[in-house]
Amino acid sequence: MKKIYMSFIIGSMLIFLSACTVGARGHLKFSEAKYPISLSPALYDQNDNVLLKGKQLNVVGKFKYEKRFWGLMYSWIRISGSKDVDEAINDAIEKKRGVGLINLAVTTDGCLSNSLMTFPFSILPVMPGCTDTIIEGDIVNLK
Amino acid sequence: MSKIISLNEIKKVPMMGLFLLFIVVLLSGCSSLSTTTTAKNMTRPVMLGPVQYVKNNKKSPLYKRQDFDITVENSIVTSGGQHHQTTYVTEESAEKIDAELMRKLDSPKDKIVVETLFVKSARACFLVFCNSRVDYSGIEGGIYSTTPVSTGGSK
Repeated sequence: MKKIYMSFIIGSMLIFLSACTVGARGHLKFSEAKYPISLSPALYDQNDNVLLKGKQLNVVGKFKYEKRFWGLMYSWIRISGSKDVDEAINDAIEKKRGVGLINLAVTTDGCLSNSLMTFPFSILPVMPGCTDTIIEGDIVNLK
Repeated sequence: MSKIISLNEIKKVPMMGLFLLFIVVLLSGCSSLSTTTTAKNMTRPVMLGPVQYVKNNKKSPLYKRQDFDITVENSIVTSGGQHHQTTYVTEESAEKIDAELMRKLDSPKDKIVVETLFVKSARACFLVFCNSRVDYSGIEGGIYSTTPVSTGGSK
């Protein structure tokens, strides 16, 4: 009888462990950015007036950066920072002599390795998952 | 006419099965469920980061009127038993962000400040069968006013 209980407990544990999540999450705060960044095609000037793309703002270049965020513990723990994104934005704006970044768009998609990490590897909480992110925007200058 | 199958061919069958299973698992990970976070249809700034003004790093006092947390999700979740399966598909576009932000704005002087832009991709699996794939991204932040809010706001 004891053996049946033990088999049931071990079986349940195996079933529980074989169900899992693989993936990652990432946070972008742009806290190191030296220039204004907007998700829309508009920025503020120093008097709080709205500057619009095509009117007061001229697009002088495109920004594109690819970033892979890694996670552990079934995607709960974030192990990738985003300081490199801020630095890439600052460098790109400086290079184009722009005043800011507008139309910021962040596209995310799970990576192929998440599929490869399925059973038996994914039951281990230390097995990493990832998400691919593309960060794009328009570098602008004042007209 | 009967065909004699050699021992080598019999051995190939499970190998083929495993290979096909591997390809299915691999391809299921390749299917695109990407989500995009942007606010390209807004006509007023949706600011991120510490710098709020062009060519000026001044810090004007802002008063938070309300918080927002908007998520754009694309997911496929399959559930069911032996006889039938149900697949739930969620497809949201970036226009959801524009619509939600527009709905929260009261005054033309309101400012939209995004504090965090988040992304997540996850696959939920049972053994080699992955029954759920979720990709989502979104923004967290607040709607700010330049004048103190009389009720329900925090600085």
